[in-house]
Amino acid sequence: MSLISVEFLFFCAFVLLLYYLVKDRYRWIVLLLSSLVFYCLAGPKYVLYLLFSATSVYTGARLIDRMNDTRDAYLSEHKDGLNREEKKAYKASVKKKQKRILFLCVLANVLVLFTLKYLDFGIAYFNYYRLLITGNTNLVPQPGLILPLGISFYTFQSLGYVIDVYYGKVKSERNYFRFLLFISFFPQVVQGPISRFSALQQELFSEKRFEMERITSGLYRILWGLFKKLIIADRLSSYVARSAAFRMDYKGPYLLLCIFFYAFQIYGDFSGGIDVAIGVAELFGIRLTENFERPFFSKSIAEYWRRWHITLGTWFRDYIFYPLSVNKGILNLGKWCKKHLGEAVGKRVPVYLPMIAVWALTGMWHGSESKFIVWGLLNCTFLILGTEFEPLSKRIMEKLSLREDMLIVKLYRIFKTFWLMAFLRVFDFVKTPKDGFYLMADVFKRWDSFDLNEIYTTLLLPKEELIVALIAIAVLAAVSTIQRKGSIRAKILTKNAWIQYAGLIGLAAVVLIFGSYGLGYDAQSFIYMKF
Amino acid sequence: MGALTLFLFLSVNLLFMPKYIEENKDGRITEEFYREKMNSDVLFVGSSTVFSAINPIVLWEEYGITSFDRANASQTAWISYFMIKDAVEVSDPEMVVLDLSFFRYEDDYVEEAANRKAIDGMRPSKTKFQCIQAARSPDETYMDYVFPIGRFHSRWQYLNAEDWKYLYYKPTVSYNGYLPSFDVEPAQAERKTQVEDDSLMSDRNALFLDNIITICRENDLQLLLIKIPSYQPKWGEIFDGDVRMIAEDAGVRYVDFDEETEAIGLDYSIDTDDGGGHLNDAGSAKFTKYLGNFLVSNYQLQDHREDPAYSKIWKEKCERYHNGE
Amino acid sequence: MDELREILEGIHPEVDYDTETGLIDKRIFDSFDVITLVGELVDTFDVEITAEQMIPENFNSMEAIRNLIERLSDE
Repeated sequence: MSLISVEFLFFCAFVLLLYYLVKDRYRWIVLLLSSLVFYCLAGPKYVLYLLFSATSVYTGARLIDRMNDTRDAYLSEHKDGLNREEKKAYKASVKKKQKRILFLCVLANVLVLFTLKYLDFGIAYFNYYRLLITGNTNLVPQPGLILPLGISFYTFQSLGYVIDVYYGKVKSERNYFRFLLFISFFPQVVQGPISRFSALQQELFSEKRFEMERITSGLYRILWGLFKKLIIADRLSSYVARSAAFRMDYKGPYLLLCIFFYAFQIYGDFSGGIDVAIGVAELFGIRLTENFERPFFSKSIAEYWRRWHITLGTWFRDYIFYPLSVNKGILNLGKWCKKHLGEAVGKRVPVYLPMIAVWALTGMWHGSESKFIVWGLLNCTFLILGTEFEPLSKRIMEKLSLREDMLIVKLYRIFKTFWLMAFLRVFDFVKTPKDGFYLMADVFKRWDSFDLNEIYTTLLLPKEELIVALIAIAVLAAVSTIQRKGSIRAKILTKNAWIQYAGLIGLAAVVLIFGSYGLGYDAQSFIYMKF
Repeated sequence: MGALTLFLFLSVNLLFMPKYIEENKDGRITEEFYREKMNSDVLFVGSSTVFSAINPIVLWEEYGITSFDRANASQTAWISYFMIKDAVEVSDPEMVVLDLSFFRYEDDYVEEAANRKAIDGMRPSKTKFQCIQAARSPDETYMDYVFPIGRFHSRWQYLNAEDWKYLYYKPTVSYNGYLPSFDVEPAQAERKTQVEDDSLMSDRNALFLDNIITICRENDLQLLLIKIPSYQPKWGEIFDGDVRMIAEDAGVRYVDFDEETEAIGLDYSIDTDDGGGHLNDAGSAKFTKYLGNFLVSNYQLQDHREDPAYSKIWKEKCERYHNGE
Repeated sequence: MDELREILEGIHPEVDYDTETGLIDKRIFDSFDVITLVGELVDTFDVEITAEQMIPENFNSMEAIRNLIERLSDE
């Protein structure tokens, strides 16, 4: 069941009713059961993967935590009997055991994820290179594994949890079923946000009372998500993405338009879905972490990635980047470089190496094809270039007597960041990394003749649809601009009930009418048939 | 607020639905059946051939028979079955006359527009759901029928005065299901027997024909199978033979009115509006008179002309028809 | 513990470390600076800093960093 479907709305309404009908302390059970039902609807056997993750991580975390308890008990019991060295050695031995458990836990889950996500692709590669090198034409069959719903998301979320327990940042959850709810909570299981246990635990299990205000606020959030998803993303995707497949003979301007629209398509699609997830959770009185913060207003790529898919970014930062960069080996390597290759290199190695690793992984997260790794590394390259050229750009700014807080400078940076990020997205359209580069180059070709009227036919986007898309994008931009000064919903919620109501109905009607959903677009033409 | 929301939502649904009042009027026929204040003794069921060839006004004026054309463009066998089932549930017909013109289409024939025209007007009922189930293409969902906005919202760019004018109130457009055409387009091509694609009646059509025979029997309805006369297409021998055999096996009378073109007095140079596929108003008058005579001579049908309750209502209907309203 | 001040001033001399409490939150220290700082701390104070300590609260001010080092050397 997609989050963007009538079925899901009915499902939510039903769960919501049940949720507020039962006593407070049973509410989380309603959520757990409905989450499991929701997951089962996507294919009952995939629940096994979810349960495997939940069970292994739950057990691992419990074991690690219990070792902490026995360690503390042992230390306080032998408070005076042990000297400092002995204590330290004892602690280290416990830590070692915990590390082993953590390692097994992470390994098991990562293996499952990798197998499901990349095995088919790996075999394809193997076959290709074996054919190339040995001429062996036998093909190893691909198992054609199907990814269970949201596996990347819940795997990351549960791994984050067990690592936090290992670090002692959170206490492990004793109740298996409560933990299961943390992993499977249905609004977020499909596409995130990737929640932290420390944050979500409180939200899921704290006392809740029915508040109309929260329902209204949640509904606004859901409708806004549907606006982005149905009016912008789905409208554009039914045309632009399709036409992008035939892009090879496109004129530059159209490619540029495709790239422009695709940026909004993917933003509307992803952030709209997240809005729905957050809005639905809000109906239940549960606050999820924000995943987007108006990324198109970013003034640098680094900022962009702090504002786009935030929970994935912080996940990679906390669980990959930091552990790698403060790792003794890396720090020592940095020192060695400092000594032999100079200060400049020594300073960069412990930062850049982990960064490259993180971005290669981020690329892989997005898909198994090699083009995604190239995409990730290109992002990394631009990030590094941004850092390296910062002093230079500062000097240029000084020369031109420009300051960072000047509007023109800000606009220029926003413009630059938007287009750079939009350009890198062309890898989503193409098959191989090489095609991606060709496509980027194609944008600058064939600008000779350009007729505005051709847009509709070339992009397969009728004039009316294009106008709606542009208006919707303008609304999105306007709303985002206003949002910088504070939440619009919060403002609406201070108004009287009828105004709140009118706003909701209006937004719902707009989504209902102008959304791009349902059976094709021929509703008018098809009724004109006689026999 | 709840009531207002519901009202607004239903209004939006109504607004976006095609109105079928100024064009494509057959989309109104299903619903107009429920507007009948008095019972219709005879139901004429089938596809576009029915609503263009059988005129209940003529039947009333000539024979006092009360009748209704429960037909839509491209109405499939399965929809016809549910039209009869639905009619039996809400009224008390005496007889069903089923035109088999559309039974030669394939089992997988599905035309969304035809589905919508026939089903959208149906009252909410279990029968309607069964009908949707039988008729829908894999792409169509129940939800689209329950909330038509899901299917028709993209008409926003085509909404016109008609949509607003007939938002809540819709005038009656058919004459008990009959939709007269006053155009003339003579048949010109040579009349050919259909040879290509000639085959036995397909399984699903045969199944629903069987269902129709059964439901008529269970409800004590007299049943007559007919082929409405048309210049084109002319059924091939295999299909024609199969129809006759099925009728004979089931013990149901079948009349091929193609064979009686001359007796009816049909002249395909003036009696058709599309070169022989469908009858126009003049053609339908001839055919309806002939058919009515056949019905009263062979079946138990009441003449209601002396009944004041009927004659009052039918007088209005006749006036509406003759005034061309 | 003036060594700490020295290290910090080596990285960003312009900051007033006695009053600044948002080194990370205000993005005065970027990831470079933090990693450099960690390297220096590990060397100078002979402590082991792992990813679990890599939270903004531990690095937002000189005071916080000092507390962190004290905590780590205690273990």
